[in-house]
Amino acid sequence: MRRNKQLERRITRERIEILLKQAMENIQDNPDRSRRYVSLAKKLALKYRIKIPKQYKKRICKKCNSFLGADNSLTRLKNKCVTVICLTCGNIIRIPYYGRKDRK
Amino acid sequence: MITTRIKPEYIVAHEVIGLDVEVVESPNKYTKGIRGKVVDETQNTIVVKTEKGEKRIQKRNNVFLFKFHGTPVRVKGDLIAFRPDDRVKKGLQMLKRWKR
Repeated sequence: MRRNKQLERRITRERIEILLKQAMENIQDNPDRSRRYVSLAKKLALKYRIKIPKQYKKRICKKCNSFLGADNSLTRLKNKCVTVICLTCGNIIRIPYYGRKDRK
Repeated sequence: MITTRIKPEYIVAHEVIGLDVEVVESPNKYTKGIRGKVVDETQNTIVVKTEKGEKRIQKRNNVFLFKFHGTPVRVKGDLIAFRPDDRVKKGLQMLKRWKR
């Protein structure tokens, strides 16, 4: 029996979106559940080969799966990097940024 | 945002976390009639948040009534008794088999 992969991917994309939204809502009230939702979304993305949407990707801690919001993360500009520190596990995410002069 | 139109029968493959449920039929009289919001899911159980706290209900042998995008859908628990990430593939396969 043939699989309808397009349909699978469409459904999965929606599921990931739903899960991440739920994770975002549950950061404050129950952080454990929020982490569980993120890990479920990651599993789905891995299995059906779908990218996690760009707006969410930088807001997930790769180490502990927590969804980074205002309460559980610190954002600073350091050494030409946007530095995000996850306050649950201490993991540091660095996203470099450059001005026009620096790029040369 | 849910933009694509999804048929109600695709609930077998879709996300149940966040939906409203009611247990319609159950061999256990204490689980029958439980109503609330799904907050977690494993291979064999779902966790429902009710007014009296969170209840873990087994999927097999129970019949659920989900409210899926506004339409109530009756689902046999045996159809969704897979791991949450396996359900997309296996759920759709089961639907196909069931339609034949």
